[in-house]
Amino acid sequence: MIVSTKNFGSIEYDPNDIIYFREGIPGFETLHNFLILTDNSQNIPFKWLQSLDETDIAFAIIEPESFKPDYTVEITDEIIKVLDIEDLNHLLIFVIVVIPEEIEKITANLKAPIIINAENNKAVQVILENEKYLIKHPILEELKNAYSNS
Amino acid sequence: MLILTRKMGQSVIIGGNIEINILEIEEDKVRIGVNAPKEISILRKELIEVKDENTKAVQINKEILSRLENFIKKS
Repeated sequence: MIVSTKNFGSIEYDPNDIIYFREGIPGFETLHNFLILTDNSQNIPFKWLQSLDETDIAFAIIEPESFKPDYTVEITDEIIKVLDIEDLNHLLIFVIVVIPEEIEKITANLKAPIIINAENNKAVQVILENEKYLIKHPILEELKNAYSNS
Repeated sequence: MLILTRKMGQSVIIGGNIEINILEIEEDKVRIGVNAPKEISILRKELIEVKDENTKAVQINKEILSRLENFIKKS
């Protein structure tokens, strides 16, 4: 299958790779089907969550462990039900990044991670109860520590 | 802000047609019930904040990420 993307022009993809958000993503409730695109030219392991329903919509995402090793998500019974989780080892966790005009003010939404069950590609953005995690968590220093010397 | 003290099982009425009921109180959690007309949407505040944040997040593109990479490399 071919789809046009926000950042990479037209690309070919395998329908088996489609990530399905049954409820959409908050603010984008009508978008259900996404692809995860990797840009190998980047040093920092950002990925793109590209909508298949609206090709101009793509989120920059990153695995929180890559800059914040102690990040933890509590998997509730509700998440297990929504994603039909059988094995917790098959979960992928990403957070959405926001880069404002002043790029040094980059933040990641640690409060609302995206959880993907890699066994069935079902996904959901959840809002954690954990008050330690902010919607606007500044990550510049953490990214510098993790990637400036590599 | 108006502040009221309520006990479990008590409620407050807002505007004559919205009732907020205190159902259960745990250590650091309160369960509340809301009775309101269908046309009134009831959302957790965090959900609105996450919606706003997601709307900001899609402004991003490849060039902005590259600029960030260069910025971090140089620093």
